[in-house]
Amino acid sequence: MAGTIACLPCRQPYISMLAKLRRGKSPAANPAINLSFDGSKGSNGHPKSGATDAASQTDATRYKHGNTDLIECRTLVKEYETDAGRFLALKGVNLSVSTHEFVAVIGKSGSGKTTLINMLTGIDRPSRGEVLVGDTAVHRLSEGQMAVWRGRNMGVIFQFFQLLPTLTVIENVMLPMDFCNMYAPRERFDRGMQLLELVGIAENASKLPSQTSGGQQQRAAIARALANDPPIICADEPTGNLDSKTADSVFELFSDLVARGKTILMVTHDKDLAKRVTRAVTVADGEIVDEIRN
Amino acid sequence: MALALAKYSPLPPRWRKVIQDLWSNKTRTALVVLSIAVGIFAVGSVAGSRVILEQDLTAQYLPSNDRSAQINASNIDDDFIKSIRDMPEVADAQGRFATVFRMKIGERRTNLLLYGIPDFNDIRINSITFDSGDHEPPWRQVLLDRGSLELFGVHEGDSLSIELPDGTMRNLGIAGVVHDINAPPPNFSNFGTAFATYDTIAWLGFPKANNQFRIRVSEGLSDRQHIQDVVDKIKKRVEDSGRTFYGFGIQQSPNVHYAWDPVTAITLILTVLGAFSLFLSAFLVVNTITALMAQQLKQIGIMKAVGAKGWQIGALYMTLVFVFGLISLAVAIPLGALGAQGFAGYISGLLNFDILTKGVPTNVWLIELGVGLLIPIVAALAPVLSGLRVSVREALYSSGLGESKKQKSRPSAQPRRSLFSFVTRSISRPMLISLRNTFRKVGRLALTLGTLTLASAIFISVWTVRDSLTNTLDKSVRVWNYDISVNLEHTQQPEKAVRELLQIPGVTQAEGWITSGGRRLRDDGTESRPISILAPPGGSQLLRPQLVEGRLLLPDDVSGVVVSSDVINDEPDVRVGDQITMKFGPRRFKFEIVGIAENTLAGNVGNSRVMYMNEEGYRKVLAAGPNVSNFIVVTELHDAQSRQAVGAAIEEQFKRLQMRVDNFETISERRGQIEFQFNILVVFLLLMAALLAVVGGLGLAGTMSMNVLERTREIGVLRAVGASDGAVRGIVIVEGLLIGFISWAIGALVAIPISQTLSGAVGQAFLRGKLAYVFSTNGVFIWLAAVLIIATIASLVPALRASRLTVREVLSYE
Ligand SMILES: Nc1ncnc2c1ncn2[C@@H]1O[C@H](COP(=O)(O)OP(=O)(O)OP(=O)(O)O)[C@@H](O)[C@H]1O
Ligand SMILES: [Mg+2]
Repeated sequence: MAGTIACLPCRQPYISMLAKLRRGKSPAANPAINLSFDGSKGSNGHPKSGATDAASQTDATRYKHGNTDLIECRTLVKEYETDAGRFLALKGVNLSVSTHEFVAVIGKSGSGKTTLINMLTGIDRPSRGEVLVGDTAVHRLSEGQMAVWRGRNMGVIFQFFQLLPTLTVIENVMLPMDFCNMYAPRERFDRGMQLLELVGIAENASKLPSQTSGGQQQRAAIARALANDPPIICADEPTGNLDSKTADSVFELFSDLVARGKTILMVTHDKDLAKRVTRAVTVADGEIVDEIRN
Repeated sequence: MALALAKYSPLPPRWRKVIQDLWSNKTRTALVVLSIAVGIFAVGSVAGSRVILEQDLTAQYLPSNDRSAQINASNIDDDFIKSIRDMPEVADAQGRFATVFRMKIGERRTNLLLYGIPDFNDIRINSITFDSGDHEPPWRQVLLDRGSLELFGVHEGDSLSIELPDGTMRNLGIAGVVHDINAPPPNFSNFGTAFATYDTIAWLGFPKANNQFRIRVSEGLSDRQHIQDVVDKIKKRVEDSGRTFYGFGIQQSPNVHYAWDPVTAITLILTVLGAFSLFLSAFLVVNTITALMAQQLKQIGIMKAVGAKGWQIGALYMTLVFVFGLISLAVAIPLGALGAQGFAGYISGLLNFDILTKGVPTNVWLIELGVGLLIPIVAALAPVLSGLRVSVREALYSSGLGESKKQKSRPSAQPRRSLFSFVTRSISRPMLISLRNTFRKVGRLALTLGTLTLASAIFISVWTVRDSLTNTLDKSVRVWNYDISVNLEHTQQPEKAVRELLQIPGVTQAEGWITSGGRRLRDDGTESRPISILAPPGGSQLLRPQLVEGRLLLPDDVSGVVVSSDVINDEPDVRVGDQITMKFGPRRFKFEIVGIAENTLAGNVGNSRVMYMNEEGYRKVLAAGPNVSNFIVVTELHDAQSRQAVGAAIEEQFKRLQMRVDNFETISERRGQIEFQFNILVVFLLLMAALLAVVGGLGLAGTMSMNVLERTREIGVLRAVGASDGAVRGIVIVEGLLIGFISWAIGALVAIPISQTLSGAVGQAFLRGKLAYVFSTNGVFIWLAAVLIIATIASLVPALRASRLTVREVLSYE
């Protein structure tokens, strides 16, 4: 279904986040790029897939802060103050994710998955250690810088959808474009509608979230995460509240997005799904204890 | 296909959210908007009327060329006036004739101030404007001041029936209507004002001549002392030229309209009260926005997570508040303009001038706009900023109802609750829940209590001012331990008149009092303002000045006198035990101050600077003759009607005896006249207090609906365990009543200092002295009733909503 969507109309140049990350330049300099669902990455400015990745690794192309991978966590420690004293939710986690990877984060409840993902999205800050995403040292950004950076570079999907209750589905999807001032105002609606079609709920566009099902809300949340065409998507148990069939189609959608150049990290409890990603990382007790490359 | 369902809207989604927030909770929007609107209305109407009144009063007063002083003397011919006009200190001088007639309109007794004007085409000092009819009244006719039409119940073309000193009746036709901005206000003074030619004056039996002249000084028009100096020079001229100087008058505040001071004073006091209501409406904004930020914590987290910068979200909420302000202004500005026009119109009607300003002056408009937009925004700033400070993670992973973990684990909540459970062990469970609820949100409770407490305090203070005014009046009236004061046209032997008075049915006691006047001659040779002399027979029980210091008069005091506090206010160097020199015309006498008495509000004499002495003492010291013109009567019955009837009987009988009564005044009338003025003041104070009460009620209603909204889940649980509609409603209403009650209790305490300040301000502004302050316990209990009613109404809507919540709504609530 998603594969049938053609290149979104592009009336105005906008930013390829990935290109920006690589070059650290002003977006205006970039050629117009869309969510490249037609798979022709080479022609629209996205970095070359597969081959380029391999090349970048063998060439040891470095980002601004010395990371060679798109995402690098270095000895991440997260400490929580609790009534019972200090609690280490992350105990020096190292994790590298390169472009176009589809990484599943698995682990028991309370192991630290959400904590880890929140470090990457900048929703939470590490107590120690570094989070480098592209050319950005996320842990050093101020709240304001973080919001701008996240809005443009990170698509965040939560376990409990988190749509604004008073806005319709399409308005929820348009919200990130609105806040980050991406795309021409007139274009945002069209783009939002195309994203909703991509996730298959265009017919629910003008409903309030409370008038749609859990699965539909989750799809709306995914469409919203894609709104600013971020190169990276972080999803915290996006399928946790969905039945297995719906969960499966959401997963399909993610695979498709990866195939089209996105990098995705997804927290999941679903062992079956974990087998179908490029890499599965197991977290236990605040540490990465296992990594499986499929 | 499906795309057709959703429509493109040019409004960006975030602004849609603002509209949704405004629209989705209409109660909240309505309460906040109303509350701000009441505040703006209060400020707008009072400040507006103040500006209008001042503007229009000045615009009508200044062109009238009000006198700096008027001087009564004999033989004021044109040459003499010209010589006065030629004095360098005098800009202009004009002669006129002035006399007062007593009028009877049905049962009402009023007075007519009749001026003889030499040339109607040349009234340069205290000029009048011609409203309709003739510009110069024909023989036997007058031009009547328009304010007097209502007083006399007449129209242009009617006639006024007056009685001449010799008892003949004359009808004066009303040839035209004029406006004399400086005429005494008929409503307050019971005086009408008319103008006639000297031919008419002669027809009425007076000489065809000036008996006074009015001057305007050439500089220092507002300088009372300077004018006094000029008058002193003129007086010397009058006397040096062999004329008799009868007296003079200078306005209390020269070169401003007599109503200027009270008008600016009342509007200032009311503006302060109005500003209070606006200030209090800001509390509701703080509470509402704090609650909103807490409710939408998660939404804020989401917006931040999808890339919204803090200021962008802040802008959304500030816009919401801005829109609250805009809607309030849209409601309040037109209403405020109406209020301003209404208030200004009422006051100008009382004081006999016109409101010329249409609508509300621009500067008032701008003030309203400024405060209407600024106050809510300033109020919302702190809650919005603190709401935005919450990190994305805290916002997203909070429980969402604004109950942050901090609050839950606050240690102080524990003892408070156990205290309450201790206190309320015997109280029913729903009641207990209300009590606990009330103390849950400390900040909100504090602001709501603050609003209602201040409203309580001001209401009670206004009531206290009212009672203090009444008390002041009562105390004044108690000084006058009699029923009627009768002034005869000619002095009479007291024994004879008293004998005749005692013959009249209903009269039980009568005395003749000496009324006179003089000035203090200070050691430096300057003279004080006029001091009135009131001298009843020694040992009289009918006059009871309230002693402040020293002692009262003894029956055998000769040169001992008691003076009113206002004499001391004017002459601060005078102490009890001092000798002071008084000038009566050219003669000087020494008196000893034996005591100081409280001021009275009015009396047999026209001013509040009074010197009390014994009749016998006065005679001895001044070597004065035996006759007096002021007689004091005690009647058998003390109600207004009996007093009036006895007064009329005296008038009739004395006419027959050829001892014509010039006028009489019953204590009831005197009291009524003062009360009338007080009541105007009190009504406006109470109106402002009522607006404050409305703001307080709206604040409470806002708080209660926030509480209900936030406790939706809790109410659901109560429902689930079987709480009836009544029980759910009861919980909310009891909570509202409790807040009302606490605010009443604190407010009554806070009212003590506030009411003292307010009484002080009112006393200073309207009586130029202190009120006899009494804290109003009536006010305290009237307000208790009012606040309980307000609290019930304020919590009724939230209570109904709480009891209407369905289980489904409760479950879907987040
Ligand atoms: N604010 C906090 N304060 C204290 N401890 C916290 C806080 N947030 C999380 N923790 C603790 O950190 C640990 C990791 O939490 P995290 O939410 O990352 O787990 P998770 O792996 O996502 O679990 P789940 O699968 O249930 O979502 C848990 O033990 C949790 O109790
Ligand atoms: Mg989790």
